Amino acid sequence: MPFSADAKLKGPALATYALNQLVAGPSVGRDSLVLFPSGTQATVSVDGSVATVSLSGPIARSFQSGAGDEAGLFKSLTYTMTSLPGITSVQVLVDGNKRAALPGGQFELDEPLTRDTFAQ
Amino acid sequence: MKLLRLAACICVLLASAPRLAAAQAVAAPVTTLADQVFVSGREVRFEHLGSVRGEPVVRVDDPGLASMLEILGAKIQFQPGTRFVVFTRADGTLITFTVGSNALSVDDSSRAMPFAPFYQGTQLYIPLQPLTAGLGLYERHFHQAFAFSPQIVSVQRRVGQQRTIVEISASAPLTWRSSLGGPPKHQALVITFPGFANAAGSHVALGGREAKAASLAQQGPPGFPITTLSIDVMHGVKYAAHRLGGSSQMALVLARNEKDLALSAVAIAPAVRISAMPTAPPTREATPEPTAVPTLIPSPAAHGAVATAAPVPTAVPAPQVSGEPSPAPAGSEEPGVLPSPGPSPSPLQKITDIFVTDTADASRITLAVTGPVNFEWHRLAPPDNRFWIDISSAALIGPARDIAVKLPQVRSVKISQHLITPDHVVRVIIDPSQPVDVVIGAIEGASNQLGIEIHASPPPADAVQSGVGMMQVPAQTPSPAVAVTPGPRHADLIVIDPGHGGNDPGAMNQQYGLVESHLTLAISQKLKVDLQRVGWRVVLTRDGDYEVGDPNGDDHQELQARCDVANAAGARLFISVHINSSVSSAPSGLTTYFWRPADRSFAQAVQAAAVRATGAGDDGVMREAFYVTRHTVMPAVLVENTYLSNGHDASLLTQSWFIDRIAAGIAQGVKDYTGGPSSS
Repeated sequence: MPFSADAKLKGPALATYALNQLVAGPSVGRDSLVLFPSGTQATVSVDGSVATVSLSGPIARSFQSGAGDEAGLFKSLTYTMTSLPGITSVQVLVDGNKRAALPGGQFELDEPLTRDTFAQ
Repeated sequence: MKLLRLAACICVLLASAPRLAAAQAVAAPVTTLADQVFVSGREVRFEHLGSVRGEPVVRVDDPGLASMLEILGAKIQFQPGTRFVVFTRADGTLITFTVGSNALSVDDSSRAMPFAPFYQGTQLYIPLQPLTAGLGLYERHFHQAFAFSPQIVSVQRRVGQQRTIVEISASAPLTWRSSLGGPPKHQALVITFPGFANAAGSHVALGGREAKAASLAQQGPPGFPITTLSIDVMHGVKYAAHRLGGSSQMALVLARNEKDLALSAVAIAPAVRISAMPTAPPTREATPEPTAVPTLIPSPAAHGAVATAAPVPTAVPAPQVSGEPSPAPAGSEEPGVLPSPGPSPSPLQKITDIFVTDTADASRITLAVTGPVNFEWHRLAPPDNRFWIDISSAALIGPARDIAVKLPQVRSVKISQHLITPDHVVRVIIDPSQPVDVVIGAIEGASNQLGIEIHASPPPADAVQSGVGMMQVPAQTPSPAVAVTPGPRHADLIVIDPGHGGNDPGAMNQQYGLVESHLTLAISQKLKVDLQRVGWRVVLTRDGDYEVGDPNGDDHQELQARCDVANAAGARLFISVHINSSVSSAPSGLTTYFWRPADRSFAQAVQAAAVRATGAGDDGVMREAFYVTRHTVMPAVLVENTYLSNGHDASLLTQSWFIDRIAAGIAQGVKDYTGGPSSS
């Protein structure tokens, strides 16, 4: 997902900016789908090459869409985070806790996601 | 060969956390109904009869409901704080309401209700009409009054050597009047059932030498129907009417000789339903009724650890033959003789499926349960050698039946709903021809399977004669690295996983009233039938609207529980059935997901056949990290069968033919991929 960041941002601040842009979705045009349910809150911390993203809000209570949206959501999240310098994997937390999947979801979140996770 | 984890076997008492159902809010308030209610012609006063969205509802603790059940010989079991309200009809049929679910389970079938049981404050209400339908009642609604009547459910013939037997079953305890009259050459035996409606058809072919046919008719006012059974009997035929073990059944015996009119236990089994499973050899007929297990006084040492030597009881009381269910084993009522089965009352669990794995020197019976269960077991001293297991707080889905095992040392294994009050107890009786070793416990890696393993070898000389056990409850958050010991792989076994269920309905379509968890179950049940027809054995991870794992467990536990079913059963294939949904209404069609590269061809076969069968759009096969395709150890796919969020797909999903075609397509994909159950 392309985004334009403030050139001065780097490190965790840049990761936070990118994440917020992704979760909020595009501000103009309706060409892309916003896969994150409205009200989703996301925080990120970076430790070495791992970005840890915690999702909360409605998405942490019940994921309402199907497998296609779910895979797309985590793929966009992983590709966005791993496009940042030095980050190669994303550990997703649900309300701050490591979980097997979103409630009602199928996509496995036990382990950090990498671009290889989505290799066909 | 010890296939089971022994740790769970004997004297393992773990505290089980009570499962509290979340109170369900209902949008519309309950309006009080002032209607009168008549049951079998008697007025029953309800104190908490109400109406929600035009549907009558009743509070589970209403004294009127208790009176109604008493007239019908039915029982209710409900413990506040548990999720199930279980009614047991006089004929043993179980009707189970689940808080928060609009699926009503009647024995092993599921029916949709207009809405789920709900709490108003702390009071639980259930929809009335699904209950009365489940109770087998004929219903008439008049101005300001409901009239419910039990029904004659079936009339069946059994032709004996010297006589004809007509068995009549009803949904409540039977009362009847009989008369034999008419001219000698055209005698008619007329049995009237006052207060009973007729749901058994109008004609029964008898075809015996004593009588050719019987006819049934319902007369009387709708509020008090009378059903009449007329049998044209041959000249010189006498008759006798017998009440059978369950009071809701009777048998008419027609014979020429007085001595043939007696009903003996050998000639006719008073079982409610006879299993279609292979039955025991004819020589077994002379043995007592299966429920009449000899009362065993357990050895005082029986509550010791497994290694404790216990003396063999010297005297075993003679078997009691009785039409009534035998009391619970004496030991359970004697404090200090057996440890109590658990520290707190357990929630009712259901036994949803039974399957058998035979090896050369052992047979394992696997009971699929909806949650951990407590059990106690008893072994009779030689020469009887019988072994029985009582599973407490458990409801057997389906009739009492024989379980066929190949081990030659075992004459028969029977399972039945032994007690329904004060607790639901399911009894398994193993009748071996010589002493055998029996091991009972949770199957490793499966939180919802109880294994009973019968070994050809005799038990150790110091084996105890009875004990209690509990399925080990898995840790709340097991490590993902937890080792699952797969059962032996069966080339003809497929596990189907209906996605979501219970407290997780999955995706929904409000416009068409579609719920993913209901659709996945409907497709899975049809797929099971389709696969069985071509020789596969099929196990569903769930066969109703409930969670596979602990309802209060997290998603890890729930998704792992589904994998455990397949891994422990040793399935050849795993198919998880889902319906897709998107934030956009544009996507449509089918997608099949896989994880392991080796499973791509399985996914392609299913996808191609399902697209062909349904005519739905082809969204292709995709490799994605879905939990169940990663943690099952056999070829596994997750099929997303069109989109609830797409108007065209959703309208198709309302059609039963479309559900049938999805199932047929997946079944064809299985055939294309494997070649069939006998190929490997």
